[in-house]
Amino acid sequence: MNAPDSKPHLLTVSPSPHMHSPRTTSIVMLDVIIALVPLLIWACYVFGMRALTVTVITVGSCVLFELLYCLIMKKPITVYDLSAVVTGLLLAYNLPVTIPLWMPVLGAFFSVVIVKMLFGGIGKNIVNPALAGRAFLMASFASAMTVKTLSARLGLFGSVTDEMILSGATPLKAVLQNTGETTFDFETVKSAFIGYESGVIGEVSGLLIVLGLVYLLIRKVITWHIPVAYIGTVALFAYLLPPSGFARFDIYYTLTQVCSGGLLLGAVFMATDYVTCPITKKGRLIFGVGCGLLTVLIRYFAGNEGVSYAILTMNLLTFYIDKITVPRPYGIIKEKKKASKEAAK
Amino acid sequence: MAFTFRGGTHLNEHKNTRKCSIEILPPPKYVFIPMSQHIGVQCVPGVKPGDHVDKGQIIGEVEKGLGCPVHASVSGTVSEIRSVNNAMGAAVNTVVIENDFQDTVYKDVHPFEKSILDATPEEIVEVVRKAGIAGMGGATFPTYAKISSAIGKADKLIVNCAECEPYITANHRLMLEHPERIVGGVKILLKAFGLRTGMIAVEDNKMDAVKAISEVDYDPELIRICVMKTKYPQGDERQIIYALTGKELPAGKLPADLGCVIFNAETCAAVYNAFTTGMPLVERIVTVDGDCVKKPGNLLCPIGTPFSVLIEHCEGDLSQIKTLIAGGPMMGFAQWDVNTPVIKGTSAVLAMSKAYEKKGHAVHSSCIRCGNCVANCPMHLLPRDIYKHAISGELDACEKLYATSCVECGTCSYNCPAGLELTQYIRTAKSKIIEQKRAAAKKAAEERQKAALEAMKVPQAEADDRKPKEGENK
Repeated sequence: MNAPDSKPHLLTVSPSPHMHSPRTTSIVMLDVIIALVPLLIWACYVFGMRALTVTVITVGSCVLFELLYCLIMKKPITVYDLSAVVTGLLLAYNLPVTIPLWMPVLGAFFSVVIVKMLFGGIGKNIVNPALAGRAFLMASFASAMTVKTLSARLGLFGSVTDEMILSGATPLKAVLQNTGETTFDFETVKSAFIGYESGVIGEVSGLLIVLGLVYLLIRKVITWHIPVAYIGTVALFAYLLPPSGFARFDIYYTLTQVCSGGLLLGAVFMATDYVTCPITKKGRLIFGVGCGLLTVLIRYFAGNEGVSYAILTMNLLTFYIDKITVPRPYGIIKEKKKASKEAAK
Repeated sequence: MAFTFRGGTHLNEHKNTRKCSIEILPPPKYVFIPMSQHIGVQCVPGVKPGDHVDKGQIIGEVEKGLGCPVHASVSGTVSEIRSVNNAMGAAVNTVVIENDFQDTVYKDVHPFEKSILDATPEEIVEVVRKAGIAGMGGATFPTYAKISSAIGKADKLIVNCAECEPYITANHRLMLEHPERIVGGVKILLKAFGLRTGMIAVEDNKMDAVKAISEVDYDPELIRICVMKTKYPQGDERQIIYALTGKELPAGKLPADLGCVIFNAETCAAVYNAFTTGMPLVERIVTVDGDCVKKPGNLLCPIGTPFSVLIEHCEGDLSQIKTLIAGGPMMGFAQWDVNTPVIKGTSAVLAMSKAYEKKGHAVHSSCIRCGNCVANCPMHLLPRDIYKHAISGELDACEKLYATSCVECGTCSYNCPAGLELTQYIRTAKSKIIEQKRAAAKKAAEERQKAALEAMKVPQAEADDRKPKEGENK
């Protein structure tokens, strides 16, 4: 009697590993969205419902432009990965609530089509799309992009009248030019951190941004390297070498500067954009310190657009940071040491 | 502070069978014993169809080169010798034995004559070789060769009980139920190397096993239990060496070059069995799990048992299986045949109803440079960069990024949110680079030989020229 022949039974044969982490690109993006949403709710409370209108228009046009691009160029549709939603949210958070409602559409076009899709879509863009969109709008419509302090909240489609605009410096100007009006104490820090001050939609509440950071860290979406290196560098300079006219070693001044302007938003959500930051932890530290130094330089000597241009500039350097921070593989050093020893002999 | 290494990931462990004690599988009707179950040369069958064989009888022996003999795992009649695909996917000459259920033991199977204390290293190597023991963690390197190559070099003996792959609990159960076999194996191996202390390396998800081993009656100076952090791939020998000694194993070197010699837990137990009972390696513990089996468990089964028998014993439905994996889900091999036989390196059989724990639509989307592959690579490589170059066929660039250092653990593919098959592309690039190097070395050797031949030819020709002249002179 012979052994029975093997029954043919069709099985899937694939290379190992046969197990994958449940985390996908869309889940990563969804985590970022979850971390960003509280900022919008706070903005609606501080500025009025118009913040929601601006955000919806920006996100909607980002998604629409990506969809249209994919359809027209006959590419696989990539909007499901939610990265266009994240770009839209970040772009909206970088706009003042008073912006005319057609401008975000233009910004979204620049961000999604020119900066992201023309370079090859998700993962291929060189600079952060949302920041590039902001820079584009800033260069084109400087006055509309300027943050104004308003006397009242705006409705869903509320327009801005001249009477509503309060005179007075924005918080960032106050920390950069000493007019003698502002004293720095616990109250200024608290007001800047919790977010009663004026600013673009997303940068108002430092507290909620830090909460978002904690969420992203717990979910392991980002690592601590960039936010800590970036904020740390700026804080170190504000503490040791503040701009002329401010006292050194003033912890309240330092904290107010950290909480003012787009620093927290930029350090937590923009500089940590995977696509445009270095891939190794060491590279990310260098990137963060570089962002911090550029921000300090621009803030001290040029004006208040420090964060966006610092990050955009460092984005361009990412490729070279990656090149100089290639990690040493396990088990390779001894050969090199031996080689150098032999060379020395 | 638990011992650990840099990189790696904590996986979803799926150790569903940790509480399933080792169960003896009712002997199957047929066993299929491949002639190659180890790294090295294939064995030549020493039996022919119709022959009667006893349990433990040698049925295949390596004639020349590296390899271990293969033994009959049941008693019965050889029904045929044919080619069967083994778990690694290679077609191998296989002896099919029809079980007579008599379980008669071969006459040469007897315990080691002397006390282990009197055994010489040479005798230990010979017993291990005759017992056909190969690394049972999956790599299946012949154990006698490992011992004899490390004698005189090794100053640290490490027993690998990490079992870092998800699902597998075979070593865990062995430690719990037969810790004396592992300790006994360590004693024998220590004797072979002339060492005093052996280390047993266990991940900290198996503290009950640590307790079981420490309760065995042994001299605490003999065995040190090292608890390591639970992280994949802690069971890779490079990572164990780094975790326990703080040294990195240089690329291209063997653990023995660092004075380390590492054995799998079950290999140790097999060495112990070979000395105490004399029975060669004819059975092993296999974890049977996956969502297609209703009663997952750890089965002690004869080598050569078809996977289908194991799955049916665990109340699995063969028709539901979509993917059948020999080994763990991270480094195991997907099988195309449910009748693939168990070999010496098969630690688990996983029957899955899905191709794999597949992600949604994101499979094969673009890299988003998240850096997970880089941060988790236990070899500290840049998987995403190697992948990019491998796709465009730039092997030189892959080599510069040390693609050949890759241990193919699968951590990068596991963590990739874009669902890229990083490991597979790096594996392909790696084997192509090695192939190219071999071809280049072969070509260089051929050219040297040719040059040497030509150098010899010239004087020969001169001599030929002279000969007739000499003749003329005469």
